[in-house]
Amino acid sequence: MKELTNEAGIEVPAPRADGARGTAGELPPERPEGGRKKRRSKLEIRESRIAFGFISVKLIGFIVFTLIPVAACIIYSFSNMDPQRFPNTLFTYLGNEKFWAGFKQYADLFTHPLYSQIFLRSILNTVLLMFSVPLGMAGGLLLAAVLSQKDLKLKSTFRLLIYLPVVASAVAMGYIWQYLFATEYGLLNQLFGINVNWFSNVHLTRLAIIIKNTWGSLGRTMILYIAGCLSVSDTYYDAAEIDGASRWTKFWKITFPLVTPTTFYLLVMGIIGNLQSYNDSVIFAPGSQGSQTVVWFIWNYGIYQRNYGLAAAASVLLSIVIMALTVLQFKRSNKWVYSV
Amino acid sequence: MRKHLKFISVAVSAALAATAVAGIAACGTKNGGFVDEQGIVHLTFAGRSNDSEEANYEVFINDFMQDNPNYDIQIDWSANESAYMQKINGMGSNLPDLFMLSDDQFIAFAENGLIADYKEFVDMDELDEQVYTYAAEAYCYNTETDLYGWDKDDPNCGFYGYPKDQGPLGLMYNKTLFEDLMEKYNQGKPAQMQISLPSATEPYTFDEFIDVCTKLKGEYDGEFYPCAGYDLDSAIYSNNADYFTPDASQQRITDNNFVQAIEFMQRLYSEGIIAPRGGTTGTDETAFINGRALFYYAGPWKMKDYWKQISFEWDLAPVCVGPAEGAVSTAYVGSMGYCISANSQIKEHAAYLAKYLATYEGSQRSQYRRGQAIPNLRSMAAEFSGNTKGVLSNETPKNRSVWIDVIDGCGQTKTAQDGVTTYVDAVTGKYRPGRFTYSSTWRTYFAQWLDGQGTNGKSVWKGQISARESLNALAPTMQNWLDEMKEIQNS
Amino acid sequence: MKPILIVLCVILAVIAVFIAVYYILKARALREKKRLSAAPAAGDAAEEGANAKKSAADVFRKYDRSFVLALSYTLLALVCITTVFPFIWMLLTSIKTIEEATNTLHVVFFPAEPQWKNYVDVFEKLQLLTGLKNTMIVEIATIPIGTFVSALVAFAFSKMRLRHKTFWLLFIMSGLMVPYASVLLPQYKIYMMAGLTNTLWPLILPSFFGNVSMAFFFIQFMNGIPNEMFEAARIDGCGYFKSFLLIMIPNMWLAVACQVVFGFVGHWNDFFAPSIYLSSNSPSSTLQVRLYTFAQNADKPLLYAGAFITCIPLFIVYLCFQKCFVGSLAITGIKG
Repeated sequence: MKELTNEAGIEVPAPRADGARGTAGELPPERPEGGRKKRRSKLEIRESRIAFGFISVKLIGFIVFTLIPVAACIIYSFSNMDPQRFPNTLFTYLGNEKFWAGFKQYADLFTHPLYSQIFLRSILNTVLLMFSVPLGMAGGLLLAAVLSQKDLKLKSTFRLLIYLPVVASAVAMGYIWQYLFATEYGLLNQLFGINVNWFSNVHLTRLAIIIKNTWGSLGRTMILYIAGCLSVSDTYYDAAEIDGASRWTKFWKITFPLVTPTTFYLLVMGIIGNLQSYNDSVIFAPGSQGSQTVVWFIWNYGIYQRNYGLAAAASVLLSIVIMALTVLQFKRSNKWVYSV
Repeated sequence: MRKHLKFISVAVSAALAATAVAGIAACGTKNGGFVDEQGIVHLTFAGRSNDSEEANYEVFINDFMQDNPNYDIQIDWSANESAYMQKINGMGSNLPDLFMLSDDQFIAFAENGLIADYKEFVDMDELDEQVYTYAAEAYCYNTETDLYGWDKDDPNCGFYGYPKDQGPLGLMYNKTLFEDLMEKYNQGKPAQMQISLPSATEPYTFDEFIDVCTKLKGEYDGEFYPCAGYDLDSAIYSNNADYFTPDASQQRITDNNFVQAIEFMQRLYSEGIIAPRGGTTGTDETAFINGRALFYYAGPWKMKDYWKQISFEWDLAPVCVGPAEGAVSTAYVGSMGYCISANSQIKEHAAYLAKYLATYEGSQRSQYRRGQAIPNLRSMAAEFSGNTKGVLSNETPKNRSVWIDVIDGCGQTKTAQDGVTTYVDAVTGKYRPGRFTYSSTWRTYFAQWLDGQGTNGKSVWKGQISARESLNALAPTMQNWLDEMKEIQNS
Repeated sequence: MKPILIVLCVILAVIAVFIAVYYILKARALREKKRLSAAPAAGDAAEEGANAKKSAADVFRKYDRSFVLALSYTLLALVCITTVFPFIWMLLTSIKTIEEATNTLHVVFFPAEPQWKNYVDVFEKLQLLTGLKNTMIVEIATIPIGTFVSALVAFAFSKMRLRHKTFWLLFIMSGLMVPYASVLLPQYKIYMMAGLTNTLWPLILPSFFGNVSMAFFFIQFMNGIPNEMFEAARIDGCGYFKSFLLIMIPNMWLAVACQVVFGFVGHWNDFFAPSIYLSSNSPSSTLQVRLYTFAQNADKPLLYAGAFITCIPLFIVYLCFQKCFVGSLAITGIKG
């Protein structure tokens, strides 16, 4: 039957040759309440198809660049993959006995006397380096509270300057901070007259990286907190004013709880970002044991030492942690996040 | 749903088709060289070193291209080892025609068939005469027996690379500071108790070294660690010990000689000769360069940097020899070689270029002149040690013969008694241990184990555990590791 | 100067600034109080009283305000100096000589003679121009197509009806949870087999298919645009694609511009992926990789000159497009 649309764009069935009205005028058979509408209009189907066509490009990209590599990575983690020993496509090796290694790579990550130390240390480093997240958030919140005072002048200049490190390239920042922390000629050592080798001591390296990352993240957190602070309605503050609340009380009891969406967002993004930190290991403190993160481990044993099995096992574990964290954060968010 | 099924299937097949097309289309790119219709040989050459060597190589290659105008060579250079190895690893089997590999990397490439055995283009006898024997055989490997060395009767023995250069280590000392402290110490002492400068031909023993360091340390006011760093491999080799048997199948780290060498190193830490590890002060090269230490170890590739960075006078001595029976002063030797890709179409031409780079006098002289290497050729030994041609940019260190002795001494001097080989030199060399195994990652782990990073968590250098106990704890893992690598090698 | 003296001087300077600002503000507040109490009160006596009380209370608070404001200014100034100082130091170091930059005896703040030629040398020693060219190739190849595809995807999710929409949305968004490290190795292997390592393709190809976070951002934005326009267009017989082009894009250009800027900065600063696929000296390496290659060299001032040059375009972009970075647009994608 040909589709006809009247001026309103609504489909009507074409008149039949014998003049009968066909199904027009008859009600469709009874459908259960609340069920999906089974009789979708042709228009809807067409729209759905076109929409699907639009997203199919992204779907292809997702399948080819994300799904398939993730599946391959999981397979690698159960194998002895080495691109020199097994240079052809994965499918050809699925039957090869020498290729499969069972859970050996995972076991190696935690129990091999030599690999496990490096892996566990890289986990420790990654976790310790995440201390820059709450520090950066606290600093950002403080700065945002200070900047959101109504009678402060030069606000945009301050904002501009504090946000500067976020825009600069991480590589350039890594090198300039490395110069500041240098043992023999670094500014920090010379200003305080000490001769501390920041990069040979594990704890000092971690401290240096935390300092650098906190400095770099102040701008980003501050900006988001400013937006959050601005969205807190003035009536709350005025009401608190009438009740005689001090500034400190106002901050803690009004501002802080009401910006929890921003806090939550920053916390999640900060943790996930820091879990995947790689730049510091290679730019700021190369060769230092305090800066070797999990992603560095994956790079070192995967790309550099060609031990794909071990690196894939580590990356699968990392992915599980990141996914679990994301899901957990979103699930628990309604407990302590104030939603408008 | 049917319509969607059609769409989904269309989308998925489009994705697969796209991937396949991309794969096929891009498969054509090869790094290999070829000979074109006019007979010009297009060759790709990859190498790595620090930036100044790149300039050198450009000069050599240009000279080569002038002498052989039918060659067109493209150089692909990397500044440091990790970037270079990452690049080479990333090329899969599309390797450049000629590229450099270090001795602890090439065995994996040979086993996996990525580099070519080009012994048919090489005249081994001629090469053996020209360069030191150990250098000539540095990249000869037998994939069947997994042994190094050249045996011209065995067809499986392959020649995988011309030697680029040999990098032996020597004990480096701060002559200015040494003389200073030595004078202070020698005042008022009878002649037989006095200290003299280290000799270029007679190595210290372990005990003598500790003795000299302790005495001179006493003469320095303030906190002072006489030795900025001591090379572990050299200490082990110099005590007639090794990590494993020559075919790398059985570990030998629990042998008495090995333990004794580790104990010597431990004494260096416990008696305050080397600064404690993980401390806040720099305990390495920078300490030596800034004149805060007496001893360090140096290889010829560092000459150029030290000429720029070191302001005092420094010199070389042979590595200390241990008290074990049959021990000679043996330093670690690192090397790199020119290997040819197995997929190369122009192996003969690549071999010709490699031979030029390895044995051409002009390039050897240019390299040692710029302070980057010692010459490969036997004929140039005297010229280098004595600077008879006067081309060295800087005469330091005076005792360059120490380096030559290390290389020279690691040849196999065939005596008249049907091929029994004996080392006749007091100073010899031995290749770095990573060379003998399929993968050299265990080397880092070994150092870290001794440092307390292993599962026992106790550092030998900090005195938390004795050397013997630590090595006994590591021995089973070491054996496991060797077995694993043997298995890969044999498969 | 001894380092302790320098530190003491800095602390004293901070305190001095604080006191100065405080007195300036207090003086201003005093003047304000005088002006208010001199102005005649108008209206009701009670109102007047109330007004006077209120203004008095305000002014009283202004005394406290001066203190708090002075404190705030000082704190912000301190933080700003801390933030900007590394950049200034980078600039200063880049014009020193090598000896001045690595002087172990004392700090050289200002070079004796500025080595501006470092900025010229940097282009040939670091081959920054090649790096710049490659970075721009990556940017130009990835941004237009990627943004377009993402916008299309967002349009489909936001404005069109799609069967199992939530399922597809979750399916695609799950890609956000997968870290780059886990797809790195297989992707690397694929590119190795295809012979595409050491080229720019591994950096460009994934962006052809759109970017999930960008799509999400656009979805938020598009949800804020009323649907009536589209329905009107549909009535007039406009196809979906055309309505996307003719209606959606003109309304969205602000969000698109912001995302383009973010994408530009992101690709410019990207180090991980290029450092893996592009070897250091290859003719295809991007700016950040060039910096990394050169860092082994002992010539520090040259390195920092290069680093500074790398940062300058970003600063310019940041200054011009501040709205995108710091406005609420950046966070929620909702206008205003």
